[in-house]
Amino acid sequence: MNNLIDKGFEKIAEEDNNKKLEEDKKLYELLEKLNKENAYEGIKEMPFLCTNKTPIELELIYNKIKEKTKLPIKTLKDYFEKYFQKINNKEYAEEPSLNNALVKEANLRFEDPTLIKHIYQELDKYHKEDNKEKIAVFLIRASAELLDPEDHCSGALKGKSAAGKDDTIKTVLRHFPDKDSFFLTRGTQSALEEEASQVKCIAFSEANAERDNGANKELTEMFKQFSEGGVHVVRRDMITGEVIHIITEQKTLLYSTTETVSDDELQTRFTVIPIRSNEEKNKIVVKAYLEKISDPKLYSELNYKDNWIKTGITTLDHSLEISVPYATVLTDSFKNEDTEKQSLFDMSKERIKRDVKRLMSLTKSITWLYQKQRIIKEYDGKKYIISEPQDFKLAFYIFIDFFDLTYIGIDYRILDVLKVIKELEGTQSKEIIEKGYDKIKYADYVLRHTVQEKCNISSVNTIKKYVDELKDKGLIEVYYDELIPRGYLIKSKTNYQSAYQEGIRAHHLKAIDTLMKPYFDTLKKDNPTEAKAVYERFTKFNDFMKTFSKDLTPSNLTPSKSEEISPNMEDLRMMILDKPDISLDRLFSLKFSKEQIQSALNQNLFPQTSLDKWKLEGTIYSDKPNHYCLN
Amino acid sequence: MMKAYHMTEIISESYSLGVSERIRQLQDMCNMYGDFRVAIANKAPDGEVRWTKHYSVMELWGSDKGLWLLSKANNRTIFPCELVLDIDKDPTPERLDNICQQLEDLKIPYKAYFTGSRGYHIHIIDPGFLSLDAATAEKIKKVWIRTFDCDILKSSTKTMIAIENVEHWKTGIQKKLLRKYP
Repeated sequence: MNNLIDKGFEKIAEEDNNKKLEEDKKLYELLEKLNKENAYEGIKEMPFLCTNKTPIELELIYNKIKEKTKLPIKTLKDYFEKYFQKINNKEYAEEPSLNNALVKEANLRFEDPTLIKHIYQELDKYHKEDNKEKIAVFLIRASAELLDPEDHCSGALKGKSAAGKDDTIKTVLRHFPDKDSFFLTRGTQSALEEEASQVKCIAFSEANAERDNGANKELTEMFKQFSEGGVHVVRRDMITGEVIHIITEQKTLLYSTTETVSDDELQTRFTVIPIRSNEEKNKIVVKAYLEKISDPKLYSELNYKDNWIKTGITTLDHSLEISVPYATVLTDSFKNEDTEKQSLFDMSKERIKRDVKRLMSLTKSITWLYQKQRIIKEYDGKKYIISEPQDFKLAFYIFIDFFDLTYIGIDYRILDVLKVIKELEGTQSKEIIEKGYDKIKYADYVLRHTVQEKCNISSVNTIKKYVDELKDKGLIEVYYDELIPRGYLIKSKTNYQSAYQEGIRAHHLKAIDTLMKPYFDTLKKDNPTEAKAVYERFTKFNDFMKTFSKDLTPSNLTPSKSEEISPNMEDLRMMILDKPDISLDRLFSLKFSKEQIQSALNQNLFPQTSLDKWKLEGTIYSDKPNHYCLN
Repeated sequence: MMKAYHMTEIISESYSLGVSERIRQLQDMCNMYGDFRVAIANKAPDGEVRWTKHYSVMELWGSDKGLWLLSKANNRTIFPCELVLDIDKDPTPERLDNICQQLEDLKIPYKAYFTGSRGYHIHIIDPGFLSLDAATAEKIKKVWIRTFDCDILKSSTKTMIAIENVEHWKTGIQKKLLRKYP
């Protein structure tokens, strides 16, 4: 017998056994901890048990813990899946651990009735302004956490370039677990089909479906499928020849775009969130940025990866279903100010089907966030969070503006133009008659260039695009006499609201309290104690909203001036026709290039008087008869 | 990182005693346990520690210059069939006795040396290690090292240790045999 080797083997076996015994002891202690109130103390010790384990060993540990723990199974599953993945990918990433202080902070805030204000304040640290907008995007993203895939809502952020669309998305996504979201600038269809099931939310930085070669244009159809119903694909693997069946449930999609027009189907599936900007917002954003970089403490705080919302969302129970017991009373009619009977939802409109479904999903999203303050009931082996009327009221209040915008189908920038047209109607008859138009026929019209100036649109092309859009939608009529310079006439046709389906309107907000009365009455009969508590919370919420609604006023910001298209030759031609005596300095200040002006000189577009004047000034010279060059 | 010096840069500082014995000892070791590597370590007058590259004994053996370098070598790698228990923590004679006694109880043959510096080395040669794959052999070496609470680094065959019966490069004191079994 070889003592050294054989005894060595014996010792190794003994050590392994001891290690196993020690691990079993740790597992036992962990299970004890998981069973107690502070289950998250226990989860911190899991890395010890899970490192360097085979999938089978991990599964055994998982099953043991699952049997005993009080932890949400989803959280536990997520945690273990990470380890399974690590073994499969042979990657040993940093061990996830929950920051105790953040868990404590999250618990406190998620148990506070003013949770929505805490969320707003946290988001506001990273993204200034767009108050209602960022909360709306947050709630849309939160809907991805709901158990029922049909409740996953999607949003499209529209606005001019540099308005802060991507920043809003990034701000919201940083408050959710990183592994649950993709933030992409580009993606291919097949890769998305395969990878989408791994995440809860897919965000695209830019999706321009209407533009030639627009970013992610080819994914428009996929966006539609993901956002409604999910994706079911069967395809053959090119290498193995195996048929693969990919099923991905409905996802939450977020995308930003600078386009004003949208595919009709895409538009109705996504809640349009407008992101605007103006000088005031720019000031606030720049100031906040400068403050951030000047203060190391603030800088490190804002760059810290974890936050209480993210931690809180990880610790919330993802296995809970949501029940909305007051849903049926919402279809009852109520009397409006003119004592006419009215309904909260206009059932004669087609769009109301989607409106109601989406609104209820967002209500559920709020209920889910407030789960620590709601009653949880068990029915048929499943646990349900019981939604309370204030959840619906909050969802209604936040999304009311965006729902209208979504269904009117017109971008807010174009609506602003229409608004100005309506304001100017009847005030320009004198100018129109002076231009030589018929007094009776065109007195109510408005001159396009006046609208352009009033809307602060510097590019002629942009106002042309907006006017064409309004014309196509049948909201304005136009008249133009080619012989009259700067004489493009516009007039609004009908009230744009009556031309489009009217969905949920702001004045309905007041009716919610009235509608909820029968619900509270029934609840009082069935369970007086519960009814009292629910009603108290509802009243408190109403008081809270009185002050909080001021914070949430949607940004009444004018569109950004940053997206300016440089004027083209056609604009220059029109400019010269309109103002024959325009100076060269003025043309340069209007961003016409040297080449464009030289081209206009070559084409003899300027009147002779101007040419003579500029020649005397020395700004141009003549190299041959009737030909002038810029100095 | 420590700089590797050329042999000739260090030789002048090396020792002059027992040249042929040294060479023969290393050649015998190579014949018995297979090729291994040697190196010369030295302390310069300014206190800087200088190490040469690690040379294969078989390579050095082939030339006069190589033999001359072999005669100056004062460190070698651990043989694949060798277990070295380096008592670096609390290196007292009592501890050495204790470990030696345990080995004797287990009937494990060994040679215990005073390193010439401050600790003790117990060399255990077992050809049985050669029939195991490198990982398993290392695992067994580690388990024994852990049992006696010695330096775990000595489980690797790439680690350098002082050559037996040669002066220690730090102190100039010879590594001497103290005890052996059987």
